[in-house]
Amino acid sequence: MNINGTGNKIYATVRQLASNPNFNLYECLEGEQTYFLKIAKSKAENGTLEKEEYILKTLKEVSDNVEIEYAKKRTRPDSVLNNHFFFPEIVDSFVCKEQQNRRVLILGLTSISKQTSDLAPISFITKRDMVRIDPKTSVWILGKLLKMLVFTHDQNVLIRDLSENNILVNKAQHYVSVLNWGDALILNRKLEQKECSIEIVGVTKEVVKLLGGNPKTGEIPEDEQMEDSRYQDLLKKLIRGEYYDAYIAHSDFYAIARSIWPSKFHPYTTK
Amino acid sequence: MQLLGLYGRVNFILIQQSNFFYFFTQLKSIKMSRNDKDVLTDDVYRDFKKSVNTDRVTSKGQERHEKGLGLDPLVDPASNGVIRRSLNRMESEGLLFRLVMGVAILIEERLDTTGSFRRNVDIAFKALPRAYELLKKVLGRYDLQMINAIFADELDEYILCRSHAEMGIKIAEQMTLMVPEGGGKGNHGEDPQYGLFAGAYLTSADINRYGLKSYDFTTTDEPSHEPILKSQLERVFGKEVFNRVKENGFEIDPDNLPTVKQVIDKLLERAHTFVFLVDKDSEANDYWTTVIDQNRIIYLEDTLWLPEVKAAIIGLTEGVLTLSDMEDFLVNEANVSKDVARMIKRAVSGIPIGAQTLLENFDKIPLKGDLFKEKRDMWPTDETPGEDDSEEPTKTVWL
Repeated sequence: MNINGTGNKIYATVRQLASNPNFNLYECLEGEQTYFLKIAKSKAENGTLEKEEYILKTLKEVSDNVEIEYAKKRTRPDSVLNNHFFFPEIVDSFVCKEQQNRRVLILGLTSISKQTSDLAPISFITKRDMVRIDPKTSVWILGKLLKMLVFTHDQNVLIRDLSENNILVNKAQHYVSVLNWGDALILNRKLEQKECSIEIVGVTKEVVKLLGGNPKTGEIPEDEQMEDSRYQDLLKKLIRGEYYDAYIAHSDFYAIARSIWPSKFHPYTTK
Repeated sequence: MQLLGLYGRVNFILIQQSNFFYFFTQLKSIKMSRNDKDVLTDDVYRDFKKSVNTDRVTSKGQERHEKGLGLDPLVDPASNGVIRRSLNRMESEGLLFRLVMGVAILIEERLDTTGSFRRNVDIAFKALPRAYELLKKVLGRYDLQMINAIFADELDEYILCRSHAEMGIKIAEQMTLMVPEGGGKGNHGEDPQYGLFAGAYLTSADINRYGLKSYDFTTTDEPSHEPILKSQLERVFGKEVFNRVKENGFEIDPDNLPTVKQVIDKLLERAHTFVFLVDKDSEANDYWTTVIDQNRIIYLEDTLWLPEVKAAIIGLTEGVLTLSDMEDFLVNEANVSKDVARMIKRAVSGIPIGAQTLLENFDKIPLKGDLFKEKRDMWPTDETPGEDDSEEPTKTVWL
């Protein structure tokens, strides 16, 4: 099916990827490029997509500005923050008359994947592939999720959906992103410690599940990669809600993880 | 000649003497005075403001209180039948009735006036013409009616002052009758719950008859006390409060009163409800997020931009504004700076956008000038929603 976008663009839907009470999600093609096409389930849900568009555009604007500021201060010339990797870009947004005046968002994650099929929700790892990741693989996933929270919390944004179906990974390239921002809130006040803590705990629980562990306690299966209990203790501490500042959680996480496993590319590995 | 039914609106005129010249001049003057009173123009506001002590706009209400006379009945929640009614305004036209200003839309605003908020009525009074103009822009097809309320602490003299649903200069007049005590007693919370109770159970608004909702805003920086007490309900609304609730169509067991959350849930059935948390502390946020969806809590640094924030919320809810065009609206129509416009947009971006447009009859409500058989009819003559009198397109039309 073809959907007419703005400026004579035509988006050809390829297959339905997902749905929730607010929207249906498709893979679509515009020319040779694949995108995510999100369409409101009914006109009643147009507002949710409108809000999502506002949040994503705001995050992109802030991310670009932060990158410019960072470039002025960085010590290594090739060092970049790439906060825009963590959320989709709004490629197009329109109300589709042929689809009962429902709003359509065309979302791109082209910075982290050439094709949308390079990305998969982390729920596929445990529920479709029926495997668990090894601890070293969990480091880049959780590390990047915590980095994302450093950025979003700094912008007073609560994602409010950090479930396994909403976290996408590019396994080959080690990228992490959140797809649906329809539940997110952008606040004009500083976040409460409790609000930050909930999201830090949330991402940790999802990664503990990927490790085959218990998301309530943070307990993970024994693994030869772990020579001592430092990583296990860190996960338990994160899950207990002892961190309410994503920046500190992210710093502590990498300090401990790097002390156990020095920085080196470790291919996505499951057991 | 005798004029009957002159209570803010003229319903009918009984001519006892056949003096047509007198009749027409009298009718004209009545119409002019009604229009003057019922639309809040800058001129009318300016004239009224001359009679008000602008350093303390509530001095009239305060003086009455200091004389031991209590609240003026116009702002006493227990007075005039307790239920506040927002009604469509009809004017007789021959054998029919004409809808004067569109369907009545009610906006109730409930301000905390404890502690540092003691000046909130002064601020609201000063901002009233600005607020009114902005609300007219986003609610153009309706008859704008407002209830202003202030709340305090149960340890204060008056927990609640609540005006009638008014239009025009009466909105300003009733603000001056309030008694903000500036108390609060520092007891970890205030008592807005009785005002919320009134919004839920002691309000009758014609907009609800059409399946649409009115608007309800509470401004505070503190949690609400719980529970809702029978003794305090009777103190605020009088001993007959539960009969009035029943008269208004609700059943409440006085010995099993609803919680604040249940009251707000009930209020949400008839009003787009929002809480403005101003310069709040964690305790206030922790509390309010347990009784109302976080999307309906608007965080503000102060009350300075309340008129613009309310207009933005209503514009989004009514589908008059989108997030994309909001900044332009606020800059061009409200004359705020771009920074303020961005701040307001951010503050309101989480609300349920277009919520009013999704309700039954949103596109069908009567408009100003429509004619009705009876004064309290919902729908104009020979029109019921869903009926289409237009000719079928397949019929041959001769030119």
